Amino acid sequence: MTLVSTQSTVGSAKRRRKGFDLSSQTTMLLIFLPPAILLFTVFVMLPMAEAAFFSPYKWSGYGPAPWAFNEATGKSFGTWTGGANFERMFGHSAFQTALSNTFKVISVSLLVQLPLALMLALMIYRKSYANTVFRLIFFVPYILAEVATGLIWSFVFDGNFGLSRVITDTFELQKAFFPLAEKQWAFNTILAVIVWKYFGFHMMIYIAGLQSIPKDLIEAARIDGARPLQIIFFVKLPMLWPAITISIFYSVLGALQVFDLVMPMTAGGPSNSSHTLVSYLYNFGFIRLNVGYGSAVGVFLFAVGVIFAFVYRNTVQREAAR
Amino acid sequence: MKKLLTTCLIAGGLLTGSALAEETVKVLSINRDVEPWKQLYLDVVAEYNKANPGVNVEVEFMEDEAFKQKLPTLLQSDAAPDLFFSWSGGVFYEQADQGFLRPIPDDIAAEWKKDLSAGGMAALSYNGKFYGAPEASQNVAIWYNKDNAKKAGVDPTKIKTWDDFLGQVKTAKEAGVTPIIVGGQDKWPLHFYYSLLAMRIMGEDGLRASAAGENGGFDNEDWVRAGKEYMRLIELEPFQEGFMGVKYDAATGLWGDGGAVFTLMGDWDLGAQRAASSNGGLSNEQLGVVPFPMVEGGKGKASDTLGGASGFVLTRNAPDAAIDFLKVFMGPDAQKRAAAEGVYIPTAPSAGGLVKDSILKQFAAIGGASTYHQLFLDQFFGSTLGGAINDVSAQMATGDITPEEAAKLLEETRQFQ
Repeated sequence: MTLVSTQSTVGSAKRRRKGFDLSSQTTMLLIFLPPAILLFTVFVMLPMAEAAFFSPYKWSGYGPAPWAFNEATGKSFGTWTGGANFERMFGHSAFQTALSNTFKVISVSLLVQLPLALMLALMIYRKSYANTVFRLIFFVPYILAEVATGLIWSFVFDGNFGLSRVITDTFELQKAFFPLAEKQWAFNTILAVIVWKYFGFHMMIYIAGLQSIPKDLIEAARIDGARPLQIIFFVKLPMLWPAITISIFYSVLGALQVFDLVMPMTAGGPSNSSHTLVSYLYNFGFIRLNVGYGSAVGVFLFAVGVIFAFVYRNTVQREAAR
Repeated sequence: MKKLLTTCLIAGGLLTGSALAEETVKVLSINRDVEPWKQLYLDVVAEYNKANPGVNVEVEFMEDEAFKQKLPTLLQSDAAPDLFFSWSGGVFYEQADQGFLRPIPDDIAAEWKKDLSAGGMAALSYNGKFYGAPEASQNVAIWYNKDNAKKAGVDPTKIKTWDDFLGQVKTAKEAGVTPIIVGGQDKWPLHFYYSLLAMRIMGEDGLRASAAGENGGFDNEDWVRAGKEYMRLIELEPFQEGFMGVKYDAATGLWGDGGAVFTLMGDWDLGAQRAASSNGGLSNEQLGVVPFPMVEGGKGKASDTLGGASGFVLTRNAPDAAIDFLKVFMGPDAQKRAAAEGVYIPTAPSAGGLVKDSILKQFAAIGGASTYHQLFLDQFFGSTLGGAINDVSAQMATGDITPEEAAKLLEETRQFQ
């Protein structure tokens, strides 16, 4: 996209003043492109490629690479295991839980978080003083750092001292409530916090979208006798569809990356029941000195993300752009 | 200005020149937050430098997490220290296996074993070679809160067998006192029970056989029995409410606030519970310690101990002077001072008797009488299998898997390694 527009500018420059502008454009490209490409290659492309190369090895992370020769021991740092890491990964019950948890995050994001954000956006998108205040309030959770959020909520849910305790005490319940310690509750609690934390972000996307809908369209619908609900479903939502597709896109990719909230709240427990793909990767790959295995999980995660992005961009978003 | 710069450069050059003339031994330690501990290091180093003019020892301190993260890269670089702190266990085995460490010559190691702890030396050995010298020791035992024991009507000093312990847990539960505090979210506090039961049931030989994959590895009747005995405890619902949602730090705070009769923890808990509690924690008079009991029909002894072993190890290119210094650094004299000043519980047998604190003294006695010291299983078996032991300990505690499944899972993990 960028390349095409650059070329066309180059072409028009050529037509106007031959020689001089072309060389300056090329100089510009030569000066500004290499640092960007270099940074992108070194910090994004290379690590991804490395992970792919590490994934078929059993390797602790010591030494420059699993296939490098270690002079001290006379063998390579890692051992080639072929597809064993992937085989192991798909057979591991904790991985299956992590995978299904990640899907849970995606579905809750799509089915609860986005509709909630949309509802609130519809309520407060008009410009007024009260709406600005509410917008700010709803947006605050998104501003908080993830780890801080996780810590705050882990205190809230602490049955010994937290808000959870206050509630059980107020209602004089006999049994203290520890949602983060119960298998059936732990991940659902995290889901609730995820919804709480990110709905404000999507709400903002929708508000921006709603504000850009031409007022005369809504006015026209009203004059034609459309009721408020009809205006929402037949005017606002169709006009908002491009914004919604973007928010779905962010929501799914964000769901694939949930990590910082899980670590302070449950650290994946109890009994590995609340891992997401990323926290699973971190725990079983890095903490346990299994860089090869961690890379295999990373490759899987990457593949899921890329496939989703590719399919989504070429189907839903292409439709929306029309 | 230019003149000043030149002078500085020349002076700098001279300084480096003189530093090069003597041999430098670089020591990398984790942060010693406790002031006397740090001072002990600095004093030993200063004395050694004074007594050995040809050698210059430098100590650098690094915060724990930074240390863990930087070490793998450091070891592969030219900036590698000559001596560094090690918690032993899986990470240490990996470093030794990959050839980053320098083994101590056999004759010197044999000499060291006379003064230093043989068990501690063993923890810093790999494939029959010794790589370092042990410093502090940690041991795990059952702590009890005397006030709560009285309230529950139990006498923990009478605990001799696992059944006795279960009996007292039951009595306490019936009396309405929380029997045990545990930080289940961290998993490793739970793995102490499973590990110690396994040790008592199969003994040293059994554990070694499992690690080597003999006799079915982990999938044998001894491990299943360890799981079953563990489940007998779990079925009594002995832990505080919500124990799976609490990390060790918070749990020991509950313990320090007088939340239960028992806790199974290492000697470090004495200070930890005081720091984490809301009212200063439990005093030495309120606390008691008993060794983990026997299991009837088991091959292990009640005097076998489970715990940590830490010390300093040598890197691949360490000079001979580093070996010489290490012996002094971790030697009986330094350890005696540590014991007398209450810095840590020493491993050197000659220093154990000098511990003054009445509780730590009991731990030193348990450590001193140890017939076989087993490193924490989650470290001993390396990070993958060790992590799996923590996992199954937690999964059994939440009732997700049976002892048989736990044994199978461990064996699967071992084979995958």
